[in-house]
Amino acid sequence: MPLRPVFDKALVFAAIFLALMPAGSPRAEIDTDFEAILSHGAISNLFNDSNNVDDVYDAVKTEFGFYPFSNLVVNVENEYTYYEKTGGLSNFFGKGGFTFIPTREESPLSIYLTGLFGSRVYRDDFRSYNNDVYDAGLFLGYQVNSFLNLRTGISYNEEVYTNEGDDRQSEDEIQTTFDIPADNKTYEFIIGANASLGGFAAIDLEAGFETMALRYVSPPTDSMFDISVGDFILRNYLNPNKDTLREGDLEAVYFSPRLSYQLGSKLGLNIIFIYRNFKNPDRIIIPGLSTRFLSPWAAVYEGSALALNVKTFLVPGFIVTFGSGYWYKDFLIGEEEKVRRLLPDFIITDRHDEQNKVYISIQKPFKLKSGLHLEAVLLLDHSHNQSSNDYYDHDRQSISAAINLRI
Amino acid sequence: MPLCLRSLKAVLYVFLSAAVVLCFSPASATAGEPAPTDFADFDGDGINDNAADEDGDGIPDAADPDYQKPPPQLESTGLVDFSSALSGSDFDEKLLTNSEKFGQRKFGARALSTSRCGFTSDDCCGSGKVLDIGVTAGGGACSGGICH
Repeated sequence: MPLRPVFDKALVFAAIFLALMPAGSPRAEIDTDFEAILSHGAISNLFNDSNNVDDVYDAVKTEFGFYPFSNLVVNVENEYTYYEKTGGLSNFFGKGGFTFIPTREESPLSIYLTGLFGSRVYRDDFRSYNNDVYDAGLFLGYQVNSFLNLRTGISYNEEVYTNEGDDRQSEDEIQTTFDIPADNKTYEFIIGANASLGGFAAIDLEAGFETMALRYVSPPTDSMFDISVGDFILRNYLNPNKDTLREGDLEAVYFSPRLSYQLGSKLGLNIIFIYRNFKNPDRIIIPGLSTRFLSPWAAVYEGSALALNVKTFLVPGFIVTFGSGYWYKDFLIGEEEKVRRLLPDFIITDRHDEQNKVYISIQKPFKLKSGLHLEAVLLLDHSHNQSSNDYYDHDRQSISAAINLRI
Repeated sequence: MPLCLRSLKAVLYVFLSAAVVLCFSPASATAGEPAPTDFADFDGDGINDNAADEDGDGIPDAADPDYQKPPPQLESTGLVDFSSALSGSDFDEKLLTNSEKFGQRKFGARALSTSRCGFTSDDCCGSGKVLDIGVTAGGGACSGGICH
């Protein structure tokens, strides 16, 4: 990415930040807070595919918050993750940003403005996925009465892959792909309503419209180049010598109801359903290994999800959270790896997955006499994924332990 | 995507049924205690957001074994309680630091900035982070910033 656009964006963020500075209360006490998290974990399937590559990782994360005014916090966050076996995946993530809330807690109107810049850098093996992130959002909430709250918001997100094209490690490895044109910009508009149903229940409805600007290839209008192999259709396009990249938008809408319910003072549960639908996804062919692990397209799918989560304080002094979820994911068409020997190394095909997950986390908070907050966390999870492409059939287990220190 | 469409009606039916049942059920009977008049759950964990948590450890006072009720007022000690001269709001305003005041504002605007299904959601159509180490309420952990 050229330096100038980055510089321009930095100027915009700086201008917003400086404009907000005088809005705070000059009488208030300037102070700071600090948080550090050390974590260690083991994963049975690092890349979420049928290769079942396991690994162990250590991570350290620090977050510093500066409160110049009572309505503004400026955050700086750093995180380093080290993988023992797949060392190249080790990465550093740094980000800085602000959150501005001009409205008081008791005000029926709430305004929330946020912006951040972040940068993630991998070691050499994965350096093609190095990326910068720009985020900004403006969100409004309004309390209609003691039972009903409405909200709306707009947000902007931009991902810039700073070493785009560096995945071409050898001519033999990826012969028919474009470089990874993974840069993208997303605009999102959301509306929501939260209502207390009386007693111990609440329902929350949220809907959103998203548009993502990206580069892609359109499929040919005829299918003369398609070759059927079993349940796969191999398409002889996405060829740099024949096709050209075009710029366009992927549009999506989603709807999500959530029901939560408290049983006594020590147990709460929620049920969440999400449905997301793309507008004409078949017109978009994503170049590059579209759903390969770190690819931004791994999180871009339509489909539905249903999850049940329980949070309980029944074990004295502990916070226990557990749950289960089901996902149906229909990904964009792109290049996929495969395991069937009759097929070439990389194929262009549809992909849809069904995934189930269960997890449990146990938190033990401590408050030391010095005023420090300390929390120990243990997490276990298991997921099972069944895909239309055998390559992505897998099970995954992970266990993580963390210590969280807050000053 | 026939599976999604088929499941959509079923799930919405379950939601509506559950909402109706919960709305008209005597909540106090299941809870064994009176229903709070200020029940709110914006973060969706099923726990009342307005439940007092004096020590800020994430466990509401009513369920916290570490919580100690404040000592009775200084009525019988003969000492002067200067704080009583201040109203509740004045008391807070004068004694809180910026971060504490910001925390109050943030509470008032809680869950405003989260999107349950954005392209950039941390947990890929889950329900938001519950822990700072990257654990997602939808299930699963993010390993070193990688949640996919």
